[in-house]
Amino acid sequence: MILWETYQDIVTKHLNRRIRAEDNPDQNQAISAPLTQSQFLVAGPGSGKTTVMVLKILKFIYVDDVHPSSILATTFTRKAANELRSRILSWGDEIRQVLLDDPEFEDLHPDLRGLDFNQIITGTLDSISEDVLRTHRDPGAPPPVVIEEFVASGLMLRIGLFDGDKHHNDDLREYLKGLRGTIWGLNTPEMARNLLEIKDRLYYDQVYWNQLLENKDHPGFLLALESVAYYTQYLRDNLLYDFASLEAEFLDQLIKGKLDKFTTTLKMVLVDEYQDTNLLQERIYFQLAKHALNNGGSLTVVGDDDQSLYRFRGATVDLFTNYQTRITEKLNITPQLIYLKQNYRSTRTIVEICNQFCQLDPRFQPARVKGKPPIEAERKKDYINFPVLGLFRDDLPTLARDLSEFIHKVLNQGYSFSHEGKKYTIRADPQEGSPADLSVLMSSPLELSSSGKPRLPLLLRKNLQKYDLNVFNPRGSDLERAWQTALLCGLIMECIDPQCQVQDTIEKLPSQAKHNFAVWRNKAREYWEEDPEPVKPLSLKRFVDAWQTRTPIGRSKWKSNVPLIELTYQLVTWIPHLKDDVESLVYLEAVTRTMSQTGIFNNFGGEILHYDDEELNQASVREAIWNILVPLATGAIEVDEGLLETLPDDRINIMSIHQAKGLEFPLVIVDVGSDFSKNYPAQEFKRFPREGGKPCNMEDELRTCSPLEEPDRSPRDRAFDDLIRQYFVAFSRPQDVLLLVGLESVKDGYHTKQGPRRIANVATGWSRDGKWHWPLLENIKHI
Amino acid sequence: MALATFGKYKTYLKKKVYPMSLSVRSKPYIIPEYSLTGDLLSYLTCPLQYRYQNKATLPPSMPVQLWFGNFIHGVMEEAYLRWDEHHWKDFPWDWETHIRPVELEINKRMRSRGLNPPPNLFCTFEGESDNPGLCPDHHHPHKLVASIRAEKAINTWGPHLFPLIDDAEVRLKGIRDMPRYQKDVSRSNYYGVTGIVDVLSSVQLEEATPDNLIIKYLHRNPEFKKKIRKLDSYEIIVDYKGMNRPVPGSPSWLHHQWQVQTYAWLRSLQPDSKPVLVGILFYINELHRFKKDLEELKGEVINHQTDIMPDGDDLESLMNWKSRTSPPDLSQSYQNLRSIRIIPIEDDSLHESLRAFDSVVGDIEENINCEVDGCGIQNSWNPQPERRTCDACDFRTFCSNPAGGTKPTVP
Repeated sequence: MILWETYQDIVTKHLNRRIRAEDNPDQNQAISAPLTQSQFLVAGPGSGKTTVMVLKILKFIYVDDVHPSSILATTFTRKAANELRSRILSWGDEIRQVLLDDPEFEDLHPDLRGLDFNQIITGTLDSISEDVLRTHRDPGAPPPVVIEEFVASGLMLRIGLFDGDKHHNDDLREYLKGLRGTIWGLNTPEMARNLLEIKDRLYYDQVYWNQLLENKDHPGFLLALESVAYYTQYLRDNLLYDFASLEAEFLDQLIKGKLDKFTTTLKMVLVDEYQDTNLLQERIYFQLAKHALNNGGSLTVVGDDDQSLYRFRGATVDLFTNYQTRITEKLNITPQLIYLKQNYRSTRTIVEICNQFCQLDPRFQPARVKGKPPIEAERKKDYINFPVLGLFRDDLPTLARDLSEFIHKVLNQGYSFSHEGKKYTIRADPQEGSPADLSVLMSSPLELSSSGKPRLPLLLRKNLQKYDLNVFNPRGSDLERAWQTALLCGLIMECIDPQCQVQDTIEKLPSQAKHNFAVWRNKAREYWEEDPEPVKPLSLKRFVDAWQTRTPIGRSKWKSNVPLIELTYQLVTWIPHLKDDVESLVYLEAVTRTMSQTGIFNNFGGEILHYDDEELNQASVREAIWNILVPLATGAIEVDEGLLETLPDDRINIMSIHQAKGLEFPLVIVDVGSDFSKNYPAQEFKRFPREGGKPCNMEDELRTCSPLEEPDRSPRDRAFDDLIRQYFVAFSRPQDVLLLVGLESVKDGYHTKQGPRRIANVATGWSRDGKWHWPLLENIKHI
Repeated sequence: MALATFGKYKTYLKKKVYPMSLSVRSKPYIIPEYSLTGDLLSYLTCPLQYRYQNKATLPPSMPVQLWFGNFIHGVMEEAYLRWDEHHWKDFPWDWETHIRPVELEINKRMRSRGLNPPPNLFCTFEGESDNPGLCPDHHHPHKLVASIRAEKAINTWGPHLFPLIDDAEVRLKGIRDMPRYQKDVSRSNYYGVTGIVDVLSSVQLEEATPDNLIIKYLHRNPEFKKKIRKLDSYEIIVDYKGMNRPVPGSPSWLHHQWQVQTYAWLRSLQPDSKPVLVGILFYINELHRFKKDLEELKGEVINHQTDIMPDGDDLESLMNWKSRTSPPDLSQSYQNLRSIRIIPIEDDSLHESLRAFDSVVGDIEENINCEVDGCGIQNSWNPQPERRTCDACDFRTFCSNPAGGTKPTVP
């Protein structure tokens, strides 16, 4: 349609993106490449990866005349897909407008007006697979019906564990304990999760089932496989798919040529976050690429091995680090390797420490893409180059107190300090700054430890409240422990099953459920004794009494079928947070979602019956407890964080490092050791592993029977690699200020009768050979 | 003095103060997307209910309307595919052998998304069972309300509609400028709007048999007749509504008009589309009215509110009917006429509809911004009390202003 120079001009002048070779040679090379040039883009943090992808796509359309429907771009999450799509639509439209306003391009105007960017195929691989399989299915074949993740959890619980009582089977528990490396936390939902992970890996690693059966004989393993087999058979019998089987079906149909109508028009394939791909997905991408290449197009993959965080979800980073070899072998092409090494996000100091961090462990370097250059600080020079800061205290309460004070000052008068003869003040923008400019990253944002002790997130929240500052930490407490859930579920249980009459008849109730039920019920009783508003026209106590005795109010007869959801909504009348607060509403959604969506295997459809047949009535209560309240009580259900988009931005974000991937904040606080008072072996996996841990155990268990074969690197090396990547992601999130926090013992060590001790910790600059490259963290400025 | 000043200047240089503040966190750029039916029409029914049910995705306890709307769409689409792919060209289709399998397939798909049929609306059993479940007895399957309507819809309109369909379940998507856009305040400078329609093409219409009812109704429509004189090829878009025909001038009547006009605009954005002449809405519930529906119809007829009045025997049976007795059989032709609504696509009404939806999106975005500013949900979204809506609303017990007041019942 237009020349590359014209396109470049418009992008530079109107979209304000400096993509000329003299300004940004790497981006220029990536975007201007001919449409037949496949590329391998290794994109460091803050390098403008999304910009590059969007501008490549628009260049294909505007310069190379590729039809939008011939372009396919995948992302890792739905949110990323929305961002990509939004950017394409917005910039695509802006470029179109510039051309439409220019009489020089009058002959293009009809084509320009007909351009529909919505035809570009964007999404996660799962959503694209589902769409393509639906649109291009055989005549008469039903469209794929894909179950959500938590329906899959419920199914595995029911079919894989409860049927046949496997959740009490010692062999199975022993086997899963071996995989996990510990018995700690191995409750029933965790068993279901582990089984689902095994199931996923069987698909993702393209494991040879028969070989697996021949090679493994642990009775627990055979039981695990049996559970997986029953689960997958149930899906097949009911023509259902989960995400793994959906992708497998997509690959199968691609190989068999059943999607030719789709592949004949496919020309450009772009894959984001390629470092988190697995073998099944690689095969899909290579199949798509084969067709794209035949149609005169190309495959571009984008990612960063240093930011690969999803081994625990079946990702295989080697597919990225060895990409060039693999694609040459399979497709006989040599992709152009481009390092997007310019970092536009962070200050020079932050870029330097990121480079230092990922280079300090010599045994990590072979795990990285060969020849990878350090990232370069390219942010515009109008910023203060703050030093990296450290805040370490003797104990957790003091740490939380001082950190809160720091945060409070940053958000108000500013926090001042001196360093190397210069005075610095860290202050949020007085006009537009907000608490949302700050984030606290940690490997786990849970407020309580497994033994119930408060952790930094909880203490921070409490201390910040003294300054009227709120935090946003949706994963801070497990759903079942959140007070909103506890109160609501307690009231529900007291209404439907007073005095535990039905609950006590349920055999083999998981102990965690029993415990939580007791806590919930107590909370409920305490609450209605407080006589909360509204008291008129009906008080909570009267409402509960009526339910407990099934005595109708305002009607002549008790309804024979009452949906549990209806009871739940009525109870919300007396719990104001649940109707008015965004975060609380998300807990309500999780509870009601569980009620409505476990209907896939409910006989009573989530309703409480009231007929003359008391046995039937009790059966409906029993089913509600077992299918709805047990999963809620045992941590099987998670909140949908996507529903938190309207949360006020006046809160400080506390999140896991995984959650922070892809995000950036002006000021980032990274917890490098608030949990580590001493060199406890039980904590080693979080800072200086001795073994591989569950993800590596799973890999080793199953990959021997897969085309991937045994991994090159030892389990311990892989665990170290993953920790380095995790903290590299954390350290590369801030724009302006990076603050490391923890206990003094992490910085200075501690004393024992046997002498001084240090705490080896990847996050504070230890390499796996036991060398501390940042001794006493003297390389940062302590406040 | 000069030395002292210079000294102070040196000190100042030594401890230079950098007054710049931290950057401000930029929000991700996302163009919010709105479904015509799922978002915009729901918001118009009641903003507060929309906030809880659509944005917070709180499932309804008795999702009669939601379930049935999805069910009838799914059944009609699947029935069309089987008509096309299995060549089931002869009507009427037998319920047990042809229609029931379609229903079960749609039910299964909906259950996997968490949409379970309300009791007494649909029999979920595939065959005889000892368990009556929520049905009258254990001699399954039962043709309950949803199945009665599904059968009527397929056998009434299937023979006339299916041969005219050129493309089924066409997904429509477009973007528009964000109304009342404010830099740094609005979430985005655009919004996306989506919908799904079936498309009938002029080619199919010309090839249709002379006794095709849809063709007959179209040719009775003066606007349609005027338009086809000027065009060689054109399209008609079709959608289904699991409800009764609304009263002209009512909010639903107007909203459905806007919906069809907007669908036509979205369709015009697709490169392979032809000019859309009219939109057809099928009000499925008109094909089989139960007692409550007939009471409503009688009221509309008495008050001359409806645009499709009965005459002759239909009028007499309706006027003479008492609600305690069994419902009268209205003529098929009257039911057919009530169940089809033809909406001409005109530039003026199209632009008016787009402006109307722009305004709705503007309102929704303002509500969202209010919430993000910390106003709380109930202060950000105003309820729209209307008796029929509030009676069926799950959130009436904690709404600040439900129609009909708050008379709690247990359960």
